[in-house]
Amino acid sequence: MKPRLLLARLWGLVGGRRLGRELDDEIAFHLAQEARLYQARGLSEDEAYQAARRRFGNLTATRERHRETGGMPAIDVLLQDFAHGVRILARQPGFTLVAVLSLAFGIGVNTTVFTLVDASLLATLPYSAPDRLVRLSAVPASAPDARDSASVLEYQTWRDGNRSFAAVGSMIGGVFPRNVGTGQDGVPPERITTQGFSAGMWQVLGVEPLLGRVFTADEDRVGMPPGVIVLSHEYWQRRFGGDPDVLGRTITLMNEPVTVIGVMPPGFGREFYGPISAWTPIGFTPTNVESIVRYLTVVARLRPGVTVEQAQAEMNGLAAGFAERYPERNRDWGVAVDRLQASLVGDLRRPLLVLQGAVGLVLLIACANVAGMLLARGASRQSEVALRHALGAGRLRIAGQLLMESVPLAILGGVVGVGVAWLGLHFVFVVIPPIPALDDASLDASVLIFTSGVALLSVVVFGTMPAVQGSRPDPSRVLNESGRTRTDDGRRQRLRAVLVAGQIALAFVLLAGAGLLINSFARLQANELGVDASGLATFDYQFSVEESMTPVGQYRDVGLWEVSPEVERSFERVYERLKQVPGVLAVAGANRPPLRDGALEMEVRIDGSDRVADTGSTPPISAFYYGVTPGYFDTLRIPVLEGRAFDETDRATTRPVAIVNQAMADAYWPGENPIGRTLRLTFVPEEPSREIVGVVGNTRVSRFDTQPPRILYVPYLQHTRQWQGPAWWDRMRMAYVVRTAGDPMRLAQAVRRAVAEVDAIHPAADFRTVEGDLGAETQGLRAQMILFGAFGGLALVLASVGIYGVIAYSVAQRTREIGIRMALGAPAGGVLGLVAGQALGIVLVGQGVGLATALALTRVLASTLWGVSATDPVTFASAGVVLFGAALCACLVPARRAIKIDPTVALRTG
Amino acid sequence: MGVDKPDVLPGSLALMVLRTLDTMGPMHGWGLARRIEQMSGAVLALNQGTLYPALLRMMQLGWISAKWGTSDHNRRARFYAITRAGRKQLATEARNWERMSAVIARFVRPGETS
Repeated sequence: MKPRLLLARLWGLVGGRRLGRELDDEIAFHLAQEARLYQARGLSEDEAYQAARRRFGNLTATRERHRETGGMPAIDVLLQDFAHGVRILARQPGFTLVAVLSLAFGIGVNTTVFTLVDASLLATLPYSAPDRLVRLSAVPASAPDARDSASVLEYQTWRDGNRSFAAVGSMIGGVFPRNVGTGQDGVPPERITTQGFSAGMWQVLGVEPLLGRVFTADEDRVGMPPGVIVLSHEYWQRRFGGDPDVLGRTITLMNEPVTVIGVMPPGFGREFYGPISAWTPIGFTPTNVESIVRYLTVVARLRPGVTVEQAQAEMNGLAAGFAERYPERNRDWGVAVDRLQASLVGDLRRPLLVLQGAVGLVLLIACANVAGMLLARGASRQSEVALRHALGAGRLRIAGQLLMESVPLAILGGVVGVGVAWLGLHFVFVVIPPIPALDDASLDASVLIFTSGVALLSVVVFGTMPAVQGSRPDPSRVLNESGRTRTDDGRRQRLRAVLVAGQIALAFVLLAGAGLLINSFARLQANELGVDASGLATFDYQFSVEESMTPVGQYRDVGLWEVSPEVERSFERVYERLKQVPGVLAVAGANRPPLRDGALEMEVRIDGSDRVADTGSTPPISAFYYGVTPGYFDTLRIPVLEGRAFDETDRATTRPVAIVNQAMADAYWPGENPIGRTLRLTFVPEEPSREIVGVVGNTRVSRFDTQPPRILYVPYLQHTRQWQGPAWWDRMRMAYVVRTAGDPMRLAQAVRRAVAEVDAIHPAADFRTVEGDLGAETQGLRAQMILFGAFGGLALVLASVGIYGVIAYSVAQRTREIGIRMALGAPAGGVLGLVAGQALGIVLVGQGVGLATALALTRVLASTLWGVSATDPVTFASAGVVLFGAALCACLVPARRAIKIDPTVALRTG
Repeated sequence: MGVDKPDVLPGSLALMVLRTLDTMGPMHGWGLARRIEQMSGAVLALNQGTLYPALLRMMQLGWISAKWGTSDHNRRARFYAITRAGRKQLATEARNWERMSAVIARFVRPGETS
């Protein structure tokens, strides 16, 4: 069609009514003129008008053709069908309500999950040309999918050797909580989150500071002390009131003076590890450069025109050369180039996609419901359809009409679905742990486009089959209005049964998934941790590397450091002071907080033997290492099984002692008493021989440990003076634990004040309950469990509605038959069996298909599950029982109706 | 109405309308109908009703324009006028018709071919 004509017709479509009115005026004028002519020839007024009408021809045909010419017939027809659909919906409010709600929930949950996907997996980073940002990771040849950070030497090699990148930068993976301010420098002491950035990072991200400048390559040089700091907009506003004169000011960071050189724009850098208050240069020392420890997150910007694949190819070469030059440290290590956005949401990717798949199944179930309802309605419209056929409408035309009638249903479902999605999103944010990548999730334009697409797709899914089935020509209907066409009803019923069986199958998959997650969570909750976490609070008290350690050389490929005894003296002062805090029932400290952050693993040598006595097997070579204060076992309520706990007499100058847990005792000295035995660590060159003085109960190092790990405790005052560089944290920080009656958070103020009394510079930071820590670790699993459970529940309800519908319809159809059976003396039980048997068949087939599908699909959950296999038979059986019970309940109402059928009434009316 | 009168050939109606408007100036629908019947010497049976959809289509194509005005008897009527595009179309169609009728004429009276 010519554009001009198309435009005119579209206009006609809009102004259709006006066009019609104008034509009527014109025809009236025409007929009047014509009639005058006849009147002039002597005809009466009436006769003249009749003659004019004859002369004019078929009025209706003219109007019809005029309208067809004026508008667009195809669209006109569609609009008519649509309007017809709306009228039908309005006439059947019950049907409409159930169908719209089904669709709304199906579409709504899809929208909710897509909102999360859109905010994370599909988001773009807020930097220029974000698709050119990549992350470079070290990759062990043995696990090509794993991603490790980079060592300093790797980073420097990649940075200086490539031709693919416009810039390469690095940051320290994770955030550094650091003490800032002393009070004397005008900044109140607090602990802020800082991050180490290389100068290259700013180039890579391409962000200019709001004020001042960022680091120069000079400040990035090896051996350059990090004397500068760049503030975040938020910290600048909060602590310095947005004063531009802050530039050039010297503040104290971890007891060192640093100069403020710049302020970043609001929100900068939040994508990486959440909000950051300040950035400092990474500050490489020669020891850092030699270290094999991988602690740098390397980010790069591709040169224009260079693809990820090309960069990967170049980096492969670079990595091979590097491994050749340093075989002892980099043999079997490669480099991976990944898009930065993808690598930032790496952990979220799988759970989100699994959830999106799950809600896709929910939508399918909802669509099957609506399709079943439309099929049933199709039966009641057979006469109408047959009449249309008889009047010459093609099957395609009728199918099209029936399909078009579904569109208003989908639109309503979509609109209500957006409401459901809005509620769902609020629910999700209550349930899920705070994840920076999901902060921006909202029902924005792209989400609404997705919703419209899903709604339209659902029309195709639920509308096609009923439309095809409903448009089947059935001329007998017109001729025989009262007769039943059994074949067609039978076909409909069979189709519905298949649909319901499909619903049951899908619901089974979702319920099995939900069951596996619930089972995992329950098992995790029941995991014997060995620590009484109720009433326990913990906080960090922390020094900087500069304050606490000096490098003394190399040992086993890593830097060796000498720890200042002042650190332990401070730890002891805080420990002694905490005992005096009112409300503190017990207090202790260790290099790691309980049940979080893992533990330091060390190699153990049993003195005088390489073998375990008698058994002849080689002992395990390692144990987890904790340096603890006296009172540690008492505070955590870890039972002392043999020997004694540490006390005030275990000091740096006394005989080195150790305590092992039951698991370690069993591994090294099975069936023997380990008390009095000696062992030696190999962590630093001068390890003393330590005598075992006690055995304590098993505890978990992490919430997720399935087996009790082997643990070795030493008095914190008997840590070796020398220490390996990578394990700085274990000597810079003391994680104190305090036990109280009631809510541990009530102690926070008193504890902070007590620590400040002893040490004005290093605050008690991150005061929190141990139970909170434990909860935080299971939040991800918990969120997935709740969401999956909600979706599984929704699937269960929808499938129940489906089975209710098909059975209720079947009972209604068979009223006459059941009436006859009962008249002939069939017992109520037999009738019940008749109805239940039909339902049972559908449910069993559905469950069978569902079981097979679930066996194939639940594997995607495997990495999330804990202590349960992805095909756990108990869980699968439970899912089947729940589903079966729900289906049975859904059949109860129609079954009751069936046995209540009064034969006389049924026979008279049927 | 005569039974043997041929219908107006498709396409020819447009030509007739355009020619009429071109020579007579703006006219209303009834006037056009009468004029076409007169011109055909009452040989053609114009189903008057078919005129109006044709007029609408010609308007959509931009060949004619319409305006509401007052008839000789002071009644509201819609007046159609030929547009510049309509005149161009008229020229093309007229040429086509002449060529076509010449061809048809040769078929109708084969003996007279040169």
